Amino acid sequence: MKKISINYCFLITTLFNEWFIFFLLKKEFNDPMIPRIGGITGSHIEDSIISIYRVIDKDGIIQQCNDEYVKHFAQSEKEIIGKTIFQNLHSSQQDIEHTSFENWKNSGRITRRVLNLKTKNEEYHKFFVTGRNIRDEGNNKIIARQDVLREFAQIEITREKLRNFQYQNLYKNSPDMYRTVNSTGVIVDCNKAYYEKLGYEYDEVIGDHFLDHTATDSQEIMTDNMVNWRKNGTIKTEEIRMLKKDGSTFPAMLTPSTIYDDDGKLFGRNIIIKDINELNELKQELTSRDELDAIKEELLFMVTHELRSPLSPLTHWCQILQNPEMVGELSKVQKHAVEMMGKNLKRLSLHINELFDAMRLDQQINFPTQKFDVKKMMDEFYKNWVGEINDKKIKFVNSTSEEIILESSENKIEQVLTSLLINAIDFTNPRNGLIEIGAREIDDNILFFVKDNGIGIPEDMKKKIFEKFVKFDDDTYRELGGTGLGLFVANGIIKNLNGRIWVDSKLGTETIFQFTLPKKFKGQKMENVNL
Amino acid sequence: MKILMIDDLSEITSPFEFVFKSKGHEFTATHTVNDGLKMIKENKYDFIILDIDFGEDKPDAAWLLDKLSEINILEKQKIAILTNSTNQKEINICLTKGAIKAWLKEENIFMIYKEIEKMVNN
Repeated sequence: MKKISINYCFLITTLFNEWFIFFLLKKEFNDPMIPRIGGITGSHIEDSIISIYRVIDKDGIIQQCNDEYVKHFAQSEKEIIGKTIFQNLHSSQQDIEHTSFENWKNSGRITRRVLNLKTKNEEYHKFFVTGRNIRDEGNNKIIARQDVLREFAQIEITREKLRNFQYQNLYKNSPDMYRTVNSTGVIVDCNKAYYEKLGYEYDEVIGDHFLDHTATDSQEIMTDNMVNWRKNGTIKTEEIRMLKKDGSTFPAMLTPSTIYDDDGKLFGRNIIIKDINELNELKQELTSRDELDAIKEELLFMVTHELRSPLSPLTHWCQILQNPEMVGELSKVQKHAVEMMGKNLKRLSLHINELFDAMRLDQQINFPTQKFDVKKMMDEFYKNWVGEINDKKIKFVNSTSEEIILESSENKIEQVLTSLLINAIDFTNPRNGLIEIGAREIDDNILFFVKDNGIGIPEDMKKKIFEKFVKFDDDTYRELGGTGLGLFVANGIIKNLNGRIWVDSKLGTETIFQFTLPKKFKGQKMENVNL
Repeated sequence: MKILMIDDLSEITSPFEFVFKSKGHEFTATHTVNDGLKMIKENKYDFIILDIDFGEDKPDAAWLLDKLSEINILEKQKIAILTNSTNQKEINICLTKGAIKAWLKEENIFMIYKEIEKMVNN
């Protein structure tokens, strides 16, 4: 008689557990490291398992079975071995089983089915039957099949208990996957989300072992989990990979709970299964985004550093040339040339800062803050711009009169004022043009404003004027330069300084940009830093 | 005033050299941190203007401040950072290690001059 080789060492330690044996057998037949049979040879199947096993050859003859099989179908093994599998089958299923058997012989495909088999008591009982192919280790051809039989009645008992279980509706209709296994790990019930997600019909799932739906790399963790549960009742949430009917897998979070019957006897587990593929993707995306942000930040620092490097000697030499104390009086043409250079360097510097700030304003930035005199800053700001503005025949007024001490970022406020002022210059008519700047205290805030009597802002533009890359379509505005980032950055800076910025405008009459900042900044303070 | 400026680019130091010398002060520029350290050890400066970054794998401002601290001459120096970097972390490190001020290089050169004059006289 040909027999199958089984790894006994492992079996000896765990024989009490039907499920565990099942797992072992499954592992045995799937493990490429274990020598395969060359013909059906070796020992016979372990006796003490509850599930029912038999091994049949390609003629449908039973070559081997376990004690449970004997217990169910005969008085002794002798009555079984060498007999055909069709012997105990109900007459109504003979044709179907023959077809299924022929199909297996030709294609190797094993059909899951419920068979009505005659037991040794001459009674017909229903059994779920599945199987696994046994291959020749030399040529890998199928030489036999191991059938696993599970009593339908046992599963039905558990299912009957479950029918009385509360919250059935919640179970059935939950968008999460639910499955219920009996104490041996056989699936006795599941909801629609479960079988649909795994690509099965409901009837295909019932009677399967949960390991049938577990990816190979998660089987060990599930085995340990089950053993621990059976041994001491401990259950814990596990992250594993589920196996779908088509062979694909997906990550899932399993949250089990034990089910007890009315007598307090453990009879199974309910498992809520969540597909965490999206969550994992999101995690991955967040990690990638963090990495990307770090690269972006580094690149940004590098680019702005490189852009600023040539700017600083140009600016400084320009300032030196504009100072008669340093180089004496320049000719009219020289003076004009240097002024033009200075003006454009100022704009270039502003645009680099805008670009730098625009790229990092999507996150909270802690600008260094210090206490400073607002009037002094506004006077200085006025002095830096009055020449250029007056040259355009625009009247420029600074109406700041109060001595105010503000705790904020002086440099960033200057950057915002510069941006607003350049806008005002660009949109103000040189003839009778007027630009006014100012700052005053209002309660616990300081209000800054830049006002002009220019062409104004159309109503529909006011709402989106602080958005990124907003430029006017009208020809009147289009010819004017700029990055389209100035007001977006101004808004971002003011928000980061815990303030608010807004615009009021009447077409053809006036525009006033205003922003308020709290007198005392509550963020990070850094004295002695002019950034 | 006796000023030392440590910056790897001579085009950055030259306008400062012009301004300080024009106003009658002693001004020395050096372009590596190692040379800067050597000069500080050998001379007493009223003020040191220091860039942060000197290129990959080269000693930087933080390294110099540490070295000066190790040989106990940091307290005797007035050192300010002049940088193009807006990386606040880098600047914070230098301020923590003993720099007394930080400016961006785009600041007005005469404003920087005035502030240095004020700090030296204090």
